[in-house]
Amino acid sequence: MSMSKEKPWLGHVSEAFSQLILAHYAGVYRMGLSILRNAHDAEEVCQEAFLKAYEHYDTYDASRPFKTWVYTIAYRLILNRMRDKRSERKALTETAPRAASPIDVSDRAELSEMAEKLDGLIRELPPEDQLLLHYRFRDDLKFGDIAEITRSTEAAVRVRFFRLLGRIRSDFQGAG
Amino acid sequence: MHLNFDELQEHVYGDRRFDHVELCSECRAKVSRLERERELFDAWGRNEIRPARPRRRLWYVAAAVAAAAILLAWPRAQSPVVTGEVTVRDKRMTTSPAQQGLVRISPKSTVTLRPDSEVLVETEQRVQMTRGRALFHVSGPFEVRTAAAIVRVLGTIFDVAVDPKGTRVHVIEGRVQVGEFEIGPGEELYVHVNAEPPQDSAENLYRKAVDQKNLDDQIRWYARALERAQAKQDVEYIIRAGFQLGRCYELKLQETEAMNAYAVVAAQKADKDDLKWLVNRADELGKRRGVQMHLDQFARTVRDLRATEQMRRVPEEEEKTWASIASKGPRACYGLIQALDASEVQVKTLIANRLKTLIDAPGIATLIEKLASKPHRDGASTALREILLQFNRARELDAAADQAEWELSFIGPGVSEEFGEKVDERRGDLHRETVEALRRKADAMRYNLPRSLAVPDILEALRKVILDPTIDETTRSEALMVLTSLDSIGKADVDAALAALDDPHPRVRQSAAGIAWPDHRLVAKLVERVNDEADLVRHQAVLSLGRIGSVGSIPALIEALDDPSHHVRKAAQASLAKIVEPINPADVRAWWNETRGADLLVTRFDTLVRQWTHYHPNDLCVGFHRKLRFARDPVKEQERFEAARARFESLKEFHKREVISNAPPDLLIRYLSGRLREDPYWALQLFVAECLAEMLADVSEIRDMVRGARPQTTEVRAGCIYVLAFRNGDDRDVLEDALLDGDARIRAAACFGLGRIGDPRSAAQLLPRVRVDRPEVRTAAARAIGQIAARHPTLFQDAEFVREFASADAKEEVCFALGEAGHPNSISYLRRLRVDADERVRFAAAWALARIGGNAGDVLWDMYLRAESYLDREGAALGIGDVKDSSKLVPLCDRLFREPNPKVRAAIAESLGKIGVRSILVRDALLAALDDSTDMVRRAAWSALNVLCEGKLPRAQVREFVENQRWD
Repeated sequence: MSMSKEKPWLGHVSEAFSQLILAHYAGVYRMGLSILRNAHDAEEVCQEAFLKAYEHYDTYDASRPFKTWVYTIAYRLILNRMRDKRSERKALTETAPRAASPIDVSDRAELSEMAEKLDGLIRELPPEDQLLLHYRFRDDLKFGDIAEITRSTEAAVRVRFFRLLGRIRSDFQGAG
Repeated sequence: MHLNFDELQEHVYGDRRFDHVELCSECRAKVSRLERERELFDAWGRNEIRPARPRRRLWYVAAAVAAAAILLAWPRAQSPVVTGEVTVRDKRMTTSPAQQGLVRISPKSTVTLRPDSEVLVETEQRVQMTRGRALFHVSGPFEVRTAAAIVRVLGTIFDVAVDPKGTRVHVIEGRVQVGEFEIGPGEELYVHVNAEPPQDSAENLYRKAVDQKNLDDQIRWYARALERAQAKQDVEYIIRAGFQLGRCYELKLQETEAMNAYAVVAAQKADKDDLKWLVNRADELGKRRGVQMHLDQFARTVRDLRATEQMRRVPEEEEKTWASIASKGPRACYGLIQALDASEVQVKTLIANRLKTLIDAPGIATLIEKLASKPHRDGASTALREILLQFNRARELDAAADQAEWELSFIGPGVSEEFGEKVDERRGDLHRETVEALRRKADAMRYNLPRSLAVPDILEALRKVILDPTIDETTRSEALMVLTSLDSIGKADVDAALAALDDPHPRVRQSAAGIAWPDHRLVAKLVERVNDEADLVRHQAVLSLGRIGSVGSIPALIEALDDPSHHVRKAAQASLAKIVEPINPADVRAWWNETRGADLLVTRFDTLVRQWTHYHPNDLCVGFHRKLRFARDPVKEQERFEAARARFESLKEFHKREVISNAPPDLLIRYLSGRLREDPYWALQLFVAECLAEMLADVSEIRDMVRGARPQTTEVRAGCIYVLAFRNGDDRDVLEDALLDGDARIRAAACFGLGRIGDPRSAAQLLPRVRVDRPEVRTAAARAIGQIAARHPTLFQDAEFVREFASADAKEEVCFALGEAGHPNSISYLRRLRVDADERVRFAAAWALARIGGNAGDVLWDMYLRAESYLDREGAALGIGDVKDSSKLVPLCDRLFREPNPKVRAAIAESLGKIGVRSILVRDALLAALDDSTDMVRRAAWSALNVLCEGKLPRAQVREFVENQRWD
């Protein structure tokens, strides 16, 4: 692959890189869409992320998976984008008590309804937390991968994740 | 077995499962609840992601639906991507609702087809899109045709979405033309299928024209609006655009075009009065500008007032006229410039006076053009002179403000200590007020003029006029008078003035004689002109000689005391009084016969030197560089310093010529010892020595005096050493002998002399003087070695040699000398001094490294990698920061973690701040260094971030602050 510093027309991209794009486009798109909630923004993030990935391909460590690398780029982009919109968003109450008991899901028929409600709660969360849930439940990523994407440690991600679950539980039950 | 709740959560939600463990019944119940909960989260994860809310525009809905469709097509469990299996038939590419595809059209152009899209490739540079959506990455001319629009591009990334009703184009990078519209990054356009080919309305074009900042752009857009309005028969906008276009052309002084525009408007106007006005306007334009009309009106009014004997109302009318002209803004100056041609002399002066408040830099360019090319230049030169005088006055104020600011920069706790001054804060406030007041005044005086006017261009134009014999004498003398109002003129201008002084026309000679610039050739020529046949020329020459104040002109002025013309005699008296100020003008003849003005010459140089404090440029440098450390804007200070040095050198040269051509040598030798004890820098003695070195052909007597063959005072002997120093290097051995003299003053003088001669062989003799001697001799010897090293950079490659410089003063001197020389060979030595114990030395080395620049970064990096001791690495790392080599960012960031020594890490962090590139890489590296195990490194990283963010970040929340900023 040529490493010229010219404008990265994707037209010049080698077959290999286009394959990489096609393989990960949807993942990055969904990640963007889940937070930005706007197809247009999500697409922009995708394009920007892959352009950046192409521009800085020389800094990519080939021994690591490409997926986590491009996710890392996209993660930054999404958070940057959200930072501009942050004023619209309510912060989660820090003092919310941590509920130890799981959400009661005895009736399977209500599952989709509850999922709707859960979605409403999750949308109120800060984008970093939303992404964490996204990685875990939509992308099935391991904590180690998430840590790499968010430039954090595995232990920290795990603690954050369970703390987040606790908060969601208490919010869910508090909301009736 | 029993597990706690956290472990159970880990079992259900985490990466580790406890499947091998047999759980107790209580735990099993909890696990099943948690697993049901997990199903809820999984259900949430499976749900489609819905956009927050539909946007206003229709296409957004369409896009969102399309996106949702893509997502529905991707089952969650498997790889969600359908790779590009694009159906290709007859060059027709189609994707199904569950496909995306990347299609290469040409080596440089690709199309990413979204689901359910179709593209027909016609040629490599043209495609047709029938439905769906596609992202184009193309290079070179390219065209996308859809049912609704044709999209033309040059090289860009853009997105086209086609729906049954129309086409949407969204540009990501580059520019795209859709019909008549041009859209850029982030902009988008929707074109309906049945819409006419997209054309901007005349109204929009007109609006756009109004928004343009630049006159040329305005003209372009108004012309387009007019054209469009004409095509659409839009009468309102024909009139509006036509009228505006005419006005713009008027401002550009393009009368034909303005008339054409007005004619278009006139053709539309049915109203009789308006028509008449327009025709009159067009007619008027053929002859003169709007400003001229005002002036004519003014002249008429004054005539009427005079006829009715109401002269008291004239100033009032005058003010009114100027107000209406000035209300046209800076552009009015073009009208005034034009009006210079036709007006009477009185009006011209008036205009010139007014021009200086209205003119801007382009206006000056126009004036110069006018001066150089058109007839009737005299008006232009008058105006130019007025403007330049005004500008010079503003510049004087500027200089005063600069001086005050410069002084202000030494008022502060650290600085005053350094210079041993006692400063009270009140003085600082006073200074600050003065600076502000002066700046305000200067700005007010400049009006529209920029701070730095392109004086060289003006001079060039003036010279052309002066030297052109085909131009009439009035114009040439006017141009010469402009020259007289400039305070600094170059050699070429003096040449022009010299030629003009020989001009056959007395008027030209008279104007040329008005140039009073300290230049010995000019003085000689002016002395000739004191015997000119025309009274006026003689008078002017005598006045100018007085202004220049050359001692060489005294005999001519004494002669002029007997001039037949009363005016010349009076002027000669005044001029002589100015030159020989302490001497009574009545005794001037007797005084001249006795001394030939030698004492005057030396005293005068004394004043000059005292103003400057230092004689030798290097002295000037050292003092200056010490101060530069505290300067607010070092680049500006450096420039000011260079300019001051050049001016000093030129004045010194003038005085030197004066002395050489007038003073007798034996008198000067006597002066070598006179009043010198009062002069701490020996500047006067050096000056006299320099003159003598040039005057004397035979210096054997001087050599004898140095050797002490005849009993002489120390001062005279030192002076003689200087004389030898200013000659060529023949007398090196004499000076080297003097290095061993019993008198410290003589030894120091010999050091100076050897440094000036700059022979590398003397370095070995100078070295012992650096090591053991009186302090003043050691400093002088170090400086001399520095001067030699500046010319012979290899001298400093010998490590043993440089280790000898023990004293901080010596090191500092050597640094400055090496910095001035700017040779990369000295980098290794400077690098070591970069971590010297003395702050002054560190600063001097940093300055020298920054001055060397060039490939110093590479050399230093190489040294860093090869260095064995941490001190060397630290010096090299700091040096890279000094030379601001941004190509070393990546390796430096890398080394910030790998470097074992904390001192070096701190140096690297400091350098990263100094290089000043705000890249994410640097930010992350410095943020990580905030967690370094050593406080020194943490502090260095913090202050580097402060430098990069140009502020003082609170240390506790530095991370947040830094991450909220934008980095590249």
